[in-house]
Amino acid sequence: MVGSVLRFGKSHHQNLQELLPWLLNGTLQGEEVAQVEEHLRACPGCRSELELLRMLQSDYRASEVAPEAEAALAKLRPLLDDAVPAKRPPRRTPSRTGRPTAPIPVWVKLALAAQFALVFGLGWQVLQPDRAGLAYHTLAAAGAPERVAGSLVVVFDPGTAQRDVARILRGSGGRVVDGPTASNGYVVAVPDGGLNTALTRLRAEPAVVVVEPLQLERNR
Amino acid sequence: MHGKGATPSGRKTGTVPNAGSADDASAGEAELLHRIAVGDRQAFDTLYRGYFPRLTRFLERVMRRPHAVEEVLNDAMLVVWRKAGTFNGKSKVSTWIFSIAYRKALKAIKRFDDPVESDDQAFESTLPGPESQLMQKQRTALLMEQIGRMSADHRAVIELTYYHGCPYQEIAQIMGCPVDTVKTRMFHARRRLRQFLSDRKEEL
Repeated sequence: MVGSVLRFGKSHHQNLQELLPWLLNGTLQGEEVAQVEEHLRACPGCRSELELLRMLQSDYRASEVAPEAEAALAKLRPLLDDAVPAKRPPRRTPSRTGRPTAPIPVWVKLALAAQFALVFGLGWQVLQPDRAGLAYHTLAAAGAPERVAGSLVVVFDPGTAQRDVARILRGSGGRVVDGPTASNGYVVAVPDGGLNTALTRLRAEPAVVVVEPLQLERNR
Repeated sequence: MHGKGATPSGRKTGTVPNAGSADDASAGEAELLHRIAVGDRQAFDTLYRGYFPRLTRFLERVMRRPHAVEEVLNDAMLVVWRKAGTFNGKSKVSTWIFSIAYRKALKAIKRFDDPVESDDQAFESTLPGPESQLMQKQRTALLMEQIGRMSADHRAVIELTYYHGCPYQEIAQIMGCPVDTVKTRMFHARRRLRQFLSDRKEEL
């Protein structure tokens, strides 16, 4: 405590004299009080200074304003509507883990969009052989209806274990036709009539970040 | 609500600090801030009414521009409303709020290019009395005028020490400066006032 009171480069007298205003306002504590009071007993100059400070403090407190808060508060209230407190409870749906989700930065959204477009293009390329196959079958059995399997793209949380990825994909009833991409995305071909079921099952998995159909089931 | 003589710490001026009640007040104010952080208007109104007299007085003395006090005070309290959730409890609530108000006051002072308004009347006692009281009234007015000529930094130290009863450590937190700077500013202010009184010894 002493070290915080006394400073080099100043006399002991000045160090203690500087503390007089706070002795007067009653906020000096512990050893500081003892040191200043001891000094006061021995220093007529500081006793005189203390009397002057007492007068200053008395004069200073002699004035008092009695402001009225309500009128000023009434002016401020409309501004509060536009100024949201910085730490409100999150308004978004809680994450699947039950913890509040952090805001998603714009760059992450853009990256996800670009990734989705890439996977979509990849899936489209993968499906081209099926179209060629369709043409062949059409020639072999003219007029016969053809059914094209649905396909979807699914992106997993990067932290998902491989065995969980495999389990979830198997559970969807689909078959991986491409992937994984750098962002843990897969293109999955789904048997006839199974697209909606696969989408529902995958969307129910907490580890799945994105799941979207690439091609709707249709009859030919 | 703190009335006349209340300090930023919730203490009454001129009395020995009561650490228990100050801590209780700070804990109560911290709870108010917690509620404000989730948008509780009633909690904000309570805090606003509690701080309004103290902040008004503080800003009047630091800025010396009564017409601007309310605007600056509301600016500061708007920050309190917005940032209540960021209060980390490392200082007292009162220190945090006064430091916001002080920064707002300094910014406002920089914007002003109008002359300082004379608010000597505000410092005058309203109680008529014997000659000694009239002399004190005159001396008070002269002292306040002299303090008004000092820098905002010096006025803030005087105000926080003599009126709000703050420890120098708390003043340093409010003003964002070392404790030695607080002591030095007060020392220089005292020296100037002492000289002023000495020069006018005859008339006072």
